[in-house]
Amino acid sequence: MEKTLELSAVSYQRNQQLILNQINLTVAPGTIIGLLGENGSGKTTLMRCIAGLAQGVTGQIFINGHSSVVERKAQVSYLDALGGFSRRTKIADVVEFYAAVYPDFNVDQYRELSDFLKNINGQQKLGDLSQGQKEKLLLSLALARQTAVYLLDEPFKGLDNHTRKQLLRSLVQWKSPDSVIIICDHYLTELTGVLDEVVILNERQLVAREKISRLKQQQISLEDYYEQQLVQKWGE
Amino acid sequence: MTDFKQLVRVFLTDKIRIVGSVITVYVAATLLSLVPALFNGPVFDKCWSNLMLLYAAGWGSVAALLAGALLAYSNEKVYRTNRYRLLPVSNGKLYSANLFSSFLAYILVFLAELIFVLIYYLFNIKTVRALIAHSFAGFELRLSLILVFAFLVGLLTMVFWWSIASLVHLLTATITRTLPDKHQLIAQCLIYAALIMAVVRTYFAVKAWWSQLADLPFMVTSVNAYLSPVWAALILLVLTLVLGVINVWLLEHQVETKQ
Repeated sequence: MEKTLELSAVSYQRNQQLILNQINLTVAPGTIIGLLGENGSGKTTLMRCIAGLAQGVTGQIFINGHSSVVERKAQVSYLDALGGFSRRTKIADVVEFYAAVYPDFNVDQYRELSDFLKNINGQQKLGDLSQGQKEKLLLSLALARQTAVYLLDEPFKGLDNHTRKQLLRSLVQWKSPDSVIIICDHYLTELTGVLDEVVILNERQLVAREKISRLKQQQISLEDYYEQQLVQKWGE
Repeated sequence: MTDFKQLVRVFLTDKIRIVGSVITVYVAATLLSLVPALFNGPVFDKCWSNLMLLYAAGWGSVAALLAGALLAYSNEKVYRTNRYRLLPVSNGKLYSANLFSSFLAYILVFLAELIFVLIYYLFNIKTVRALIAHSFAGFELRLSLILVFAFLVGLLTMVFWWSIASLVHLLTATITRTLPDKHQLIAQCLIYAALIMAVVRTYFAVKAWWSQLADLPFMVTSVNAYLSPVWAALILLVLTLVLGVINVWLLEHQVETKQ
């Protein structure tokens, strides 16, 4: 099977706590995956491991066959909360930074996304943005990079219902056919429409993986499937 | 991959902003210090340039220290924020681009101080030449070399202290990461205090030995006054490189960004 992303026996420990335990995952090109789990189950940490931010990860992570951290970073666009920029930074300066340091950052695509999301103008400062405006900016920046893997950690948390639905529908049209998107969010009903697969993390382990098409065939909603898996795990 | 030049340019944009504010305050403080003299008289006689140089030197030390501290803080932020750690570059490149950009930005502080020295020199050419001619009697005088290397030693000293600051910061992050989740802040403060004490004690322990080493060629040859700062610069460069290797290793294997 052709694979864009491959995780093999990935474990991660910090502050004397095991946070991820023996995660195995293979993702085919073009797949959109929903990463679900309770708070503290390790979703963000797993994304940080894939993005090359976490240190001391054991096991192996490959993106398009590359395992070195630098190569991986070049192929991952990670939705970050813009930590490191001061509140006084203008949006135009953030965009300029992205264009300077990421050779794959497409300024035209950023503008297109930004217009679509009715983003704020470039002269506005980060500190003046509402939570929703900030999320729109983050998404525009993350999706304007041309990478093999997009990691979207709670991308819709500050967005209103209408924008969220609009954005979810458009995710499919913006991504290149071969790129993989991993979304971790709590809006399960709305996510179902765009996801190809769902992966569930619970207590540091990957406990379930299923194709959305199969759930639809069996007429099981994503919420019900998620609940079932957690209950099953608690039963054990 | 991100280009090294681009990385330096990006770092430099932020750092020039920091240094620019310090230089503005420095120039303003020096000029404002001359205001009382305007009313008392000395500004209108020949002493005004002496007075200006005096204030410029005094405020210059404060500006150099302030710029050094602010640049050190800016350097350290790079290692713990996703903004920079997500970039597709090796940790060695990230570390050297960060330090090199601070080095370039810090030169601006020295240049601002140099402007006041040049103004003084322009109005006191004869005095300065006479002073130089008498101060170095009996030595092979290469004043330009002495000045260049003294300038280099000043800059390298700051780079050396930035490397020490990084070592303390990265070691603290490394140790904290291995401790339990509870009482992290207290543990962090204690580790910082212990490491800073260790650095200060080590510094004073090796300082005497270091000074002797820096004066060694001067004592042996006795005629090449400019060799002393060359030697000091070399020692600082070697120590900074050793610290750099340790810091890059810590970045590569231990230190990660805040979650």
